[in-house]
Amino acid sequence: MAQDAATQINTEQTVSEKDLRYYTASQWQLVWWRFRRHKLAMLGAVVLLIMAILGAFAHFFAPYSVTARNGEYIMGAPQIPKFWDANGVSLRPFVHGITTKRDPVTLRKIATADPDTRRYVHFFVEGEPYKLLGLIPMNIHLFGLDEGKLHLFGTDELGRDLFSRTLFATATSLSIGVLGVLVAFVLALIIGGVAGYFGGPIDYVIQRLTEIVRVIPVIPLYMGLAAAFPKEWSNIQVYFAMTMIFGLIGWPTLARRTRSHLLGQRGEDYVLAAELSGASASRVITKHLLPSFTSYIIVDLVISFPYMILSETALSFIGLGLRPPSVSWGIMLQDAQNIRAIEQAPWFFIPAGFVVLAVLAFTILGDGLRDAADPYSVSSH
Amino acid sequence: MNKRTTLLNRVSWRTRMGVLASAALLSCALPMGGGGQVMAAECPAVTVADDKGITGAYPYQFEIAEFQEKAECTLSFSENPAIAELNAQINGNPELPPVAERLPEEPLVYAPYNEIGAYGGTLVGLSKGTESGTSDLLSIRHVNLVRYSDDLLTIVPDVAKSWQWNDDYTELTMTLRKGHKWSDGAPFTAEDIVFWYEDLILDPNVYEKTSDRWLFAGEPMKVEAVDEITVKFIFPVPTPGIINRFAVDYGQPFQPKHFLMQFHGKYNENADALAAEKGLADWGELLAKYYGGSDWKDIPTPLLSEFDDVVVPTLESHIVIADTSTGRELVANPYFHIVDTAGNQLPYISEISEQYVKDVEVSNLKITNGEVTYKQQALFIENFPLLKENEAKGNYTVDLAPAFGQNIFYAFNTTVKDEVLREIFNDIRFRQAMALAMNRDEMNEIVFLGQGVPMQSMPVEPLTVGFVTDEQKNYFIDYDPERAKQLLAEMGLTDANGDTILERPDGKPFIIRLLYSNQGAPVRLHELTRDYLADVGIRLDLKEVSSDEYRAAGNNNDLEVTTWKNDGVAAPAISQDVTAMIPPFGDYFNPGNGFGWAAWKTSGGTEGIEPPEDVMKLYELAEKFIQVPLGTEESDRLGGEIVDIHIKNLWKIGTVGEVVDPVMHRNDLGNFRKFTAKTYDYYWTYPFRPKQWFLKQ
Repeated sequence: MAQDAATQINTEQTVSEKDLRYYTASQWQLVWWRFRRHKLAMLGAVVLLIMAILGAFAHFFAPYSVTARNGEYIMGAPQIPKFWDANGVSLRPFVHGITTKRDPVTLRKIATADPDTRRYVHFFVEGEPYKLLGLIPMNIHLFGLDEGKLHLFGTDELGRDLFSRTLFATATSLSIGVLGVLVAFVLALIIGGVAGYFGGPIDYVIQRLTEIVRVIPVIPLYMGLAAAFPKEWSNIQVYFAMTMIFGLIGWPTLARRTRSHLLGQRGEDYVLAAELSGASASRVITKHLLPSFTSYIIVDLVISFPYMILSETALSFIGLGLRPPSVSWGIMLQDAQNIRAIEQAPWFFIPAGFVVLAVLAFTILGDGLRDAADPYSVSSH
Repeated sequence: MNKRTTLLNRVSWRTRMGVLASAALLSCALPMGGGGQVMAAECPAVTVADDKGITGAYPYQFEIAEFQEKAECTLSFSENPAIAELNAQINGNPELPPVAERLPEEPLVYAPYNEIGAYGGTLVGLSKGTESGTSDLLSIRHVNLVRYSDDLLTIVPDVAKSWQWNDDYTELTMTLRKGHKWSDGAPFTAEDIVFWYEDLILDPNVYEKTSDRWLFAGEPMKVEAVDEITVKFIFPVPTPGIINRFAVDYGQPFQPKHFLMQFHGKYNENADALAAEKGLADWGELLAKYYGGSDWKDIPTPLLSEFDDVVVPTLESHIVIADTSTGRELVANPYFHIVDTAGNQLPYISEISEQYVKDVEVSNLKITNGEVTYKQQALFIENFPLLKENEAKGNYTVDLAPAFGQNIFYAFNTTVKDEVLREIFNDIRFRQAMALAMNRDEMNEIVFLGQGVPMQSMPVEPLTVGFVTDEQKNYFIDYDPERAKQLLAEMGLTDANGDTILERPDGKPFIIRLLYSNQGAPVRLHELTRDYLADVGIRLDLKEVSSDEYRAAGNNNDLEVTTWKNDGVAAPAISQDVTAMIPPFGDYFNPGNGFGWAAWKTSGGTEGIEPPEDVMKLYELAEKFIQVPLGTEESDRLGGEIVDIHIKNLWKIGTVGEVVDPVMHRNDLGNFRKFTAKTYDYYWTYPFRPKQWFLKQ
């Protein structure tokens, strides 16, 4: 006993600056510190960040536009820049020049690389004009060939560059996911919060409403709504409509969980204390009740992204989502759903890798965030 | 001007395709020795590959008397050893008499292509649904009065033994085969032909309105049974092309009177009572259960609706014994009228299994896995590399054959319901702009694997007639998007709000919706067209629908653009049927353009939209065109004028012509000869004699 006390005193005396920072840190700082140590989650975050940047600046990173066709390289295989070949080493990456001719028997266009011609990869080249982020007119693309076109992921049946298309698709699919989740998230917190805090008849009505939304079969609903989009709508309108639909369908689960959590918490002393101090209902919900629930909300949020992305992919895959020439992962995979692609152009499936990667990244990110945000997790600083 | 005769031009395309002209045609003129005395000797197994010096009046086939005389032998008949079992599967069929009694007294004798075949086996084919994508398989069992030989030039006997025209082509006399029987053993006579026309085609209880194709200058023909085997068709106007229709048409101008009369009010006064008993309104409805209001053989049989367990007897080589939502099963007709040169009753193949596959990918997989015996319809060239590369795996061969009328068109509906669009579409400058906006060379490279020729659309297949000039083929086919934009700007269509889409006069964005079925054209072509139109400021929204939906919408005048290949434009078709030439420039299955004009014409001016002068002129020219024999100077002059009007108006905007398309058959299909054409216009396989195909064991 005495020894314990002595140790404690001792500790207090030698409290380091690091410890001090720990004890005085805000909740969010603690979360961040714990999260940083979660290597896998960090990796997920980095992957998503890269994807987001690639998507947001797709016009810059993509060498060509979504609909640009290369008639000389139809259903062409991915081209990988090299630094050396039989003719020696080059510091500047290059690909071999290509000549295409039709196979007289199968009538397939066969591209043969000419090992003696080199097409060098240049960076920051001028290309098709575009508006960066829809604002800044530019015509500089990250890379391009000095002559001809470079197709890192190959080309599709119309000779369109799959790398460029994948980047634009990334922008569409990720942003639909993010926007959809945000709509669902806000709705869930408001609806769940109100139901849980007030309870009684309000709760009853909201719960029945939730059930109605929950029992609507999702795919037929999507199909009905997508078919009902007026033909005059531009792709941007369809895009936002789809986002809204995903959001309006996605809220019930989180709303239910929020509600049950609040129902359990609203009788606690600290809520009573807040109420007695004259806090309004919205203040009690947002400042006192929801923060006790942060870790769960974060996880739910992050885990929802893949669902949104997959919904969009599924919808576009069955041809009900965005219309070409807009491009999303689903639309690209739709192009891959034929035997020609499977047998003769497996690179059509590269976007599927992006879907898998994004979903995985979101999942491990959510996992890491949950660990980091959980106040009860062991916190060895 | 290209003033070659029809025949010359046809020969030229044939030679171009590397197809040998029919040797039999030439050799039939050679004097044959012997004759007279018929010797009771074993007949030589004459084949096309080895004719043993015996050729008849028509290529690859003989009348039995002709054959026996030339070969100095007597043919003895044999039958499919399983024929009794097959017959047992045909509901309502009595026990079979011996084969010699089942065959007509004068059966038709086929020289098989390569060898005398073996009986048995099941031919597996694919359709899309009960009434969708079926004609390819229908053509295998199809028979008609006459047939085109595989040179696609010579008309040869089939159900009819011979025929005779009067001098001015108003009277056609057909001689049938004595003792010819329906698939239930009942005699087939001239009365069955009269019944088909008088009591079905002309009867308002069966057809509310007689189809225009069976009226001649608006009048019905007269069909007379002179005696049991002689029938006379008497036309109100010269109709020289009708013999071509009897050779290539899906419809058969004969129906089993002995069977159908029991449901027909004219022959059975209790027919209405019979209908009421079955819960139907009148005998017309009852009859429709068996003869479904069209001559198509894929209309649902009573088996499909489980209305009855018998089907209408047929003269075809196979008869339906099962009809479900997933497919149809057929067995050989035990009374079929053709034998081979060894006296074996055809067909060799015992059964046909028709399976419905909607999805083109599943269909491709089934083919590459070797599950399909034969297919040509809806095989597009885009899949040719895939099919070719898998030949060994699936043990099949895929060939390319010229596809007549495959020049896929885009027709901007000039009588569309949307009035703003209608006004735009009616402006010739718009249609010219659309024609110029398309990059046909790229279409040819990407979609048709470089095998076609960029060409304007016309209501005739230039490969089969002599009157189309190069000038006409090349009218407005250059790729010139700048000129297209200029034309649109001249019309006052501009992009005021800078969203890259032009505004219509009413301020709405210029958006056209294109509904398409993958049966009509390769999807890639529509994607390219969408990109081309986007380049000149028009948004084309693509939506895939089934063929049925597409046709229903088209015939209801609900489509803003129609797109399909051109059916019914080869020589035999246009010689007797002007459907492709006058509004709506197509039939129910292939809606074209100008439905409002067509409605105006049929209603006598009370409905629809009054057509422009050019269309009125077309009606006139088309009527004259079918009254003169094809290939004559007068026919060429009229044809040239018709093509000119079509070309200048761009009602249908053409893409790529002279396209080739795949035809596949499994290697165990014997006596299969490479097709000289892949076309509905000669009724798919009908000229290529599928009755003598057999399955190698």
